[in-house]
Amino acid sequence: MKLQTTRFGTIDVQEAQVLTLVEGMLGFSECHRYVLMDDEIGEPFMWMQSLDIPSLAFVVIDPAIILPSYHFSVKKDQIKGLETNSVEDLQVYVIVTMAANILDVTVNLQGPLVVNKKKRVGQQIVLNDPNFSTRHPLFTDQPETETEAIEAVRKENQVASQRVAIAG
Amino acid sequence: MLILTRKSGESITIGDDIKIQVIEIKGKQVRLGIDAPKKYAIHREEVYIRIQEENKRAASKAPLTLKSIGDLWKKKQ
Repeated sequence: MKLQTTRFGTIDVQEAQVLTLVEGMLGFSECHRYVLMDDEIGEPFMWMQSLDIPSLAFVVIDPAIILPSYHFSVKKDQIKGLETNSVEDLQVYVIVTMAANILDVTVNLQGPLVVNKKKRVGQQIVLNDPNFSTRHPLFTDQPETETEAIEAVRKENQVASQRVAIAG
Repeated sequence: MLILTRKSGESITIGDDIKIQVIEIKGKQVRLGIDAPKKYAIHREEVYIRIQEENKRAASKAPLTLKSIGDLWKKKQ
């Protein structure tokens, strides 16, 4: 299907590329369909373009690239909408908030997006752990306590290779 | 807003399928147990609002191009 977007003009999206967020992003519950797009000049950052609102796009990135120690655990009930119990099916993205000064760019570690790669469904997860910030600085030095806390969570879960673990 | 007084151990029910129980009252904190169908996402309000607001900020600040952040990232590597 052909779609009009503000940033990219008309794009051609195959049905198989459509990422469905049943609940939408928090605050954007009316938008359920997105497409994830690579951007050569912006690599490794990616776009998540809404198929419902031409001007709505989020900048996202795989946290493994920017913060290898980032890891969290979710309950099965919490991700029922993702239609899988296997972490191998899941890909995590974090939402990037740009800033006037590029050094002030932050990523949202408390509300990651989890995607079932096979079924192309995704969900924004709310992590109650207060050690995860919604405005984690991407380029400036991170406060040590936060890095330590993330490390502690990772160790606790003992699944270093996976961004996300499924519990109970 | 409906306001009810409950003691520790007592509950309220909402409709047929939601139950909220006061588990423990300690000083200024109340522990609540919530039984609800899985279709309802339950969050601490302040966390939920913080993520909602950050999403709106992220959407409003999304640039026209990723060139500047891409360039800076490559320079840092």
